[in-house]
Amino acid sequence: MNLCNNTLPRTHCSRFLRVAQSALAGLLSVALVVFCVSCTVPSSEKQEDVLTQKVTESGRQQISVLVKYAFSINSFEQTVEEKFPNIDIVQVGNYTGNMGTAEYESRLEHGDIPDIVMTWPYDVGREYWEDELLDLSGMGFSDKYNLSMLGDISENGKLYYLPGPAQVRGIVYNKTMFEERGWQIPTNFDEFLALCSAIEASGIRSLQLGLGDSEVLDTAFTGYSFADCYSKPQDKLWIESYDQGIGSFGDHFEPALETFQTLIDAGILKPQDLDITYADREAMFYGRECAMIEDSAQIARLGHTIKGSTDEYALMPFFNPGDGGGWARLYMVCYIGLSKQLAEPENSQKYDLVMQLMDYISTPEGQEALMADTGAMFSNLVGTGAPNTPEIEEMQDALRHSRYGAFPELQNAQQALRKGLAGMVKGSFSVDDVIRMVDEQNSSPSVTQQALSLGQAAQNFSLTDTANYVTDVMRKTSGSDIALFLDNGKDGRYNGKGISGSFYEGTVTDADIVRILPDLKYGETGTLWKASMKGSDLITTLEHSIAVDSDQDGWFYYFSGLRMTYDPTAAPGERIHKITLDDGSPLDMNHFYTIAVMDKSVPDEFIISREETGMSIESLLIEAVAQESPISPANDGRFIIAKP
Amino acid sequence: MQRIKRRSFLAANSFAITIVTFAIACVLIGIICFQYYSQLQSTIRSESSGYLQEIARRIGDNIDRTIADNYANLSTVATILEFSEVQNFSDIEQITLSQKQHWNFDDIIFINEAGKAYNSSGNPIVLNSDNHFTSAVLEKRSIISNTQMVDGEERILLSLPLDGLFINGEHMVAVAASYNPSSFDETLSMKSFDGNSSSCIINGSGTVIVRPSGSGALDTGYNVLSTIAHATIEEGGSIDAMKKDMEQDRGGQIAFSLDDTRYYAVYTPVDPENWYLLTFVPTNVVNARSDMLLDITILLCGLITLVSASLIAFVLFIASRNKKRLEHLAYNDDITQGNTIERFFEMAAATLVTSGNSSYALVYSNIEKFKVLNEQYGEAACNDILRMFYRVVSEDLYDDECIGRQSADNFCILVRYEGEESLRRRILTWYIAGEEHAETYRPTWALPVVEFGIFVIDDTTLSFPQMIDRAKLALREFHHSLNSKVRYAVYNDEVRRRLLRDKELEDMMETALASGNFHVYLQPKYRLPERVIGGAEALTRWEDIPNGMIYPDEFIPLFERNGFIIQLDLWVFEEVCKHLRAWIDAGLEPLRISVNCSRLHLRSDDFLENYCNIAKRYNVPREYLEIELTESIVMEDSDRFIGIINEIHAAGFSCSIDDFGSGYSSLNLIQSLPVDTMKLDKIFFREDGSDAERLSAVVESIISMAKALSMETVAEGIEIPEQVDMLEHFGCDYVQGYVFARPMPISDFEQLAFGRKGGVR
Repeated sequence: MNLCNNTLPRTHCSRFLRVAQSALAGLLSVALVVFCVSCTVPSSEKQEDVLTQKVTESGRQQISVLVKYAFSINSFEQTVEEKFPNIDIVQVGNYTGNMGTAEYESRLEHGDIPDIVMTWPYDVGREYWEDELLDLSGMGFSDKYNLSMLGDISENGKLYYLPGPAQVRGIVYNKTMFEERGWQIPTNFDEFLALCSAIEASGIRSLQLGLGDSEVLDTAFTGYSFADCYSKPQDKLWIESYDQGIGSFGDHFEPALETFQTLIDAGILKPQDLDITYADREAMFYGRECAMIEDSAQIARLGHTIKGSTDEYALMPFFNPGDGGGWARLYMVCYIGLSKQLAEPENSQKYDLVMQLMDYISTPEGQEALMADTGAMFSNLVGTGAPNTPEIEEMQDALRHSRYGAFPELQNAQQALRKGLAGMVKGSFSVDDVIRMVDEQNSSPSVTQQALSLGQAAQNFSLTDTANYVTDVMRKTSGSDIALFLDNGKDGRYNGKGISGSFYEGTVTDADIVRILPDLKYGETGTLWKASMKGSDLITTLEHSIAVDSDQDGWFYYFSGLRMTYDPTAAPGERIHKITLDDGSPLDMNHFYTIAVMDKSVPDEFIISREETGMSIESLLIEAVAQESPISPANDGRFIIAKP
Repeated sequence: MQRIKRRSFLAANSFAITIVTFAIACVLIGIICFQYYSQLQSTIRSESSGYLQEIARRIGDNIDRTIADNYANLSTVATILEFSEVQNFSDIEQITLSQKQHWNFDDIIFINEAGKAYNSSGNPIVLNSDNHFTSAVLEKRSIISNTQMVDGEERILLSLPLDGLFINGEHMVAVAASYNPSSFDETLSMKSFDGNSSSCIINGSGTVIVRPSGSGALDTGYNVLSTIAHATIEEGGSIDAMKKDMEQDRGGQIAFSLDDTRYYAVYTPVDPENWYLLTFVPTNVVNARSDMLLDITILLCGLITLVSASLIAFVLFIASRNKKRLEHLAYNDDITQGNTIERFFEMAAATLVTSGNSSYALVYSNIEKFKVLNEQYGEAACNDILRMFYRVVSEDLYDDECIGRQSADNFCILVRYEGEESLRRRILTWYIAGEEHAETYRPTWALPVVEFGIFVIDDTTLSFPQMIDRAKLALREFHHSLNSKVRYAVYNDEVRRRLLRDKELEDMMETALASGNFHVYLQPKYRLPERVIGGAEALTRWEDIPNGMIYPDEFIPLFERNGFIIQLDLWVFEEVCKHLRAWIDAGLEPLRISVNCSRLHLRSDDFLENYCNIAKRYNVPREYLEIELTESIVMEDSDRFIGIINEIHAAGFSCSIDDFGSGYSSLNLIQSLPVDTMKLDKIFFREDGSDAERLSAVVESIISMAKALSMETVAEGIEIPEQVDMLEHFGCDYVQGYVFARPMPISDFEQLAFGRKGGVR
């Protein structure tokens, strides 16, 4: 680490000597002075962002792709870059809370759209589409998609998105266990109930949905009543009219509530499930504590690749009472749109490349590449349909007969329904109670929580500007020497601990604060720690960062109290070209510095001592923005991105 | 330099005119061809457009009919099912299978009153339809949907309401047949264009309902109107017009280019759901035949233009070649290969126009006795001489000077005039150069005499022929010899005027002689020492009635040149004879009268015959007649002269030599001349007093010598009495001069000599 600190001046020095020795000493010295000045004087230009931590090969055009929260296109990136020697896919992550929808809406609102967006859900920021997204309806590749799907997402004949592949979801079961125990795959609802009883009787949980995440209650409610209450033409019409406040929930959904009650009565849904999270139920499933969960083929594969399970997993459909077949849940992963900026004349070269890419995506190979990370996805490409993967063999009959669908939600009263369903599971609400609750909320929909305005941003912030602001606030508030905040990840990787979004010019709301902060994937609390760290350890931290989830590292930090020339594309250990304290004085390797960080965001082993302040960084920011409004980027040139 | 420029300007100008004419002709032909082509093209286009619409309409009708047929079939099935009391799906499956043999559906779908759908084998399926379809089904209307997915593939559903069908106890409210969209391909395809066309069905907003199929099908995109709006729409069409047509249920056509291919899109309304049939045909397919026709037309037009242009070019070429040839003929001398006189005129004119203050002379050259040379050396050699002459002169000329051959051996040369001396030198230079050239190449040649007449151009308004005339005129007169072979003469106006006068006189002379305007005057000769009239010399006077007397000085040299002198001499002789006869007849003692006899007479050997005949006619004793010959004749051929004198004597006439002393005859000559009388020229008696003594000595010795030879002597031009005394002293026989009497009309002479008039007339 010391090396970095020392090599940099030496490089300058030797360069100076070389120049001094040269015959053109006079002229070049002047040039050198200018060069050096430009190196050291804070740049007043806009702070550049790190777009990627990969080196872009020369000859490749960067094409930025906004990737939907929790969707992975790493294989796609690799395949595309192999196939198109002119294209460098740069993934722009959307790792903020709330499934990234707020972040995407902000981007739409402020015209900050990467070249390609892969987004979900569909209906975000509709009012900005025409201004920000290209109409794809006149483009040849739109021919390649099923008209039924395009019909669903077109707007008066215009098409702002193409449908990405949809995840096929159903009931994932432990095939090995089923075979061991002689459990048969059911063919109807009654057989399913019987199966569950048999499994429960063997002391193993049958279906563990993990109701701790309240939206999972929808899965049980919708999945087992889809045939009667959601799939028919009338159902759509009824739900549309109910969303308009017409009718009583019970008129249409009483059978669904009855079915839900049946599941409870059969012991498939248990009150304790309400405390089980996604992660919990996965652990239970892989640990053979339950035989079934609701998910996709991906989870079946993850069991092997990540958890090291040797069991085989497969999917079975949902069975509905009184229905002749199973049902598959289609989970739209993303919709693919293009930035309208591409149509600007200066982007014509990029436009052509993007069109080639879209043509490719609209082929079976392209779809396969797009689905590669997730697996077993249903393509909306004409004549493609469901893949013939073994895990979803039991789903094929449903898929062939169009017995699939995305699970709709009530426009106004889904929250009330979830609350009611949870109550039913707990045994505290009856069907009628739930109907009443839902109707109540439906007739007087709570006004959407208006975001609270905190102040103004004088101009658009880059991601680094935003992070600089956050760390400045943390450092100032805590009185620390230095503050660090992770970047949330680049190139399709994310750590859930980093800065995720930017402030945009105009009003800054509390929602914006949430939006720029991470989704805290690994149980972080988002509070401020004031840690003491030795200078040399700080260097190591900045070089290597913290390892998260299966020891992934290579992240980088934004900072306050330092000035650094940093190459995020270099291997950890070779990234810092120059570092000083913000007053320009060198960092003392043996000195102990106080460092403000978010909890669990720096390696524990380097923290000599820490003060867990309990202060939420979100709150600190809310206060700071309110006090300092209007806020502006620091533009102090603290973070110089060294080019490889 | 100026000259060259001017010529090249002329050449360029004519070239430009040629080119412009050519270009205009080509453009005109081109325009006519293009007009024709455009007309043809628009006719063909409008016909193909009509053709396309017709085909599209037929396909549209086909679709309508197909759908109607399918509905009819579905209706039949529904009726069969409703009346066949089917109970379950296995019954249905039988019927479906049997019906499948008759028409082209994929499967039969039943929709119960709750909206739940089953396929013909009873498998529940989900209707992926929009509300439009859903509402129609629930409201028991027929409807078509294009959004049904079966087995991962898109199907078209034709739905028909049912009334009394129950399957497994469920009340089915609608039956629908599903079709693979490709089953419409045959209906949609157009055999007319070799499978190059594609058709699709779209709804009113442009969204595709049934996609075009086939490998060559256009990528229409999801919304065809957007696709076309992105394309380059050709003139005369607009997407708004197309939308408007579609709103109003009208068909139409639009042409556009997409991905470098031009298409016609023909839209025709079809029956169901306000759908439209949209047919795309690459224009090159539609226009394949007409394009060929048009190509041929273009080719023909091109060919016609080319041929016409070539023809014009050929004509222009021929004309220009002829012109050049004529120019060549006109401007290139066929012997010297240099300038003709015409070319010379042009060049000289150009020089004179721009001459400014410098003066020029026109030199006219003449090679003496060139015809003789022609005989002597042959034409080829003489042509060489001309070429050489042209060449040596040309080489000496400045840019602004020029030379041209006028005719035979005559050249005209325009040279700068910087005084006579400098021109002399140049002429000499030319000759010397010629000599050198001849010595080098033709040592056997003896160069001919060349004379140069020079006209100093003092009046540029004169035409060149006038200038040449003047240069020629100069040659008629005073030559200056540069050496034995080169002479030159500078024209002056005096000469011209005199020549004009000569011409005038010549024109008058014959008439004057006939009409008696010539008169014979007699100048008495006084005999010494008596100082009485002893004879007379007959002289001629010409009375030009309105203008007075014309003196011999003026007309004798002229008549000597033109030969009229012979006639005049004989007339004088006759007049003299006439009067002598009269005097004799009048009984007077005639006096001897001398008449001048021009040397021209001597050219004819028998000239004396005329004299003898006249004398005989008047029967005049010949001793009264004396024939005077001038001294200059002696110089030419003294032997012949002596012979002539002898003949004169033989004929009985006296003979005198006139103007003795005016030439170069030596005293020695006198003794060999057998003349009777010697007339001393008046130069011996000039009154300027120069060398009077020496002259008188000469006169004395001539007279004494004449006496010694028994010649009589006559002194001419004596004007003062002292000279008479002197001559008397020397022993001169006669004196003729103003001192005694001027020449006078014969009547006056008669009066003087005889005291009375003679009897003539």
